[in-house]
Amino acid sequence: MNLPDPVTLAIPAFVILIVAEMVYARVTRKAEFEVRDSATSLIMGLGSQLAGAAMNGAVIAIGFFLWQNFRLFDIGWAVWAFVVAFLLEDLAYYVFHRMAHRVRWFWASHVIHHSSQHYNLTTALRQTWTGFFSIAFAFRLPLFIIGFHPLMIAFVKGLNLVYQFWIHTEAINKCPRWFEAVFNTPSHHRVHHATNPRYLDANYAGALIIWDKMFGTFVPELAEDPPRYGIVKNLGTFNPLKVAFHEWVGIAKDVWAAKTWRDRAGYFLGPPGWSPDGSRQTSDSIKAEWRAAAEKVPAD
Amino acid sequence: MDPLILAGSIAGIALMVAVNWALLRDRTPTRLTAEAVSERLAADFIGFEAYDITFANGGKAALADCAAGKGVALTVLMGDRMITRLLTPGILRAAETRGETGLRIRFEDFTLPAVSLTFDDAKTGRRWQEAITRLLEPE
Repeated sequence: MNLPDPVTLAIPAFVILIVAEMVYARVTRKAEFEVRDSATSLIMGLGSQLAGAAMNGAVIAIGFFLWQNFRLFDIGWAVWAFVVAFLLEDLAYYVFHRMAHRVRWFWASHVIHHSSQHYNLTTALRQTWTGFFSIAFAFRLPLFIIGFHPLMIAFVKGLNLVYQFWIHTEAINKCPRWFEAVFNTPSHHRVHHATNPRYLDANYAGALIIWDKMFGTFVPELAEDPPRYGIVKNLGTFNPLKVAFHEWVGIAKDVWAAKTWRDRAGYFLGPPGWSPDGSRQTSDSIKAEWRAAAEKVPAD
Repeated sequence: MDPLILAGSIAGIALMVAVNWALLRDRTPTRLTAEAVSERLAADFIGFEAYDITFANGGKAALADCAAGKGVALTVLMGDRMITRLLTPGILRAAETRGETGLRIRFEDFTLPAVSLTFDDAKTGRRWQEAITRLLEPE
């Protein structure tokens, strides 16, 4: 079956919607852009597409190998198969995304997407150049073994990515209640991009927020605690090369300086911010410090 | 990647950046305020109560001491957002005076290797250089 690439088809719509959001920002001041930040995000997006074009063939080849030799079922191309593939690919994305925030090796690739202090449609395109290197595709391999055709998985993955574009905006406050209950929305995803301690490590969903509700990682956006975007230690540069590789450089420096193999493993596989002596901050330690400080403040 | 899609993507990026510049370039603040620095430091470093905020570089950067003894923090305006760093021995490499009123702080930080600050007077520069150097000394 010949399936189109949804992301390539959506590129003109991305451009039109980004320009529309900029006009909306000019008129209403309800969205914010900064020229160098936008340029960096867009260059990261182009670099990600180039890296993907170079590496997607390898991922699909691995998928074909598993599907041809180890698949459990002959699922075929029925409409229901696309629907189930979309759901399971979205679940695989949730698992990957959660790991990407909890394991530094995966975070080193994913942090790029969080490295802007802005939250607008250009942020959606600020994507990694090193996804293949971090072996993020491994989370989708079970789908090929179940029996979904590799091209079907590539197609639904593209649909999922296109869905995730529009939720990167401050222009939309809340969607209808039924939609907020089931789908990932701008409000839910603003929480995910926020560095406020209450919002750290929450709302990992791709298209469906139900996974966060099922697995206990859902946090609603609160009007009294507006999201502050970026990362815990924001980058002091707009240089795309530094944005793309800064966390990998950090891992290399830490591993080089580590004294034991346990420490080296911790720097690779521990949570972002892990250090042997606990002198750095992880999201867990930040949340604990925030809770302790909140308990000290008497309630009004 | 199809060369046509690549060329179209580059043209699209140029268009979007140009529209961003044309419509929104006047939204970037030109200097920090004490209120914005205090608020941001309190958000970034739990328990940080800024006092003795000293501006540098015509208001594009600031050093602040913490009333609760959490140390010294640097705030730098980058575009329309702020970058903050708590100056701890782990991330500080050196602090050197530059000329009469300048101070250069170097970091163990790939994305922010150094920041040069120019104060209004030499005394202020020396005071902060001494304060930051003390942070680097072993306890």
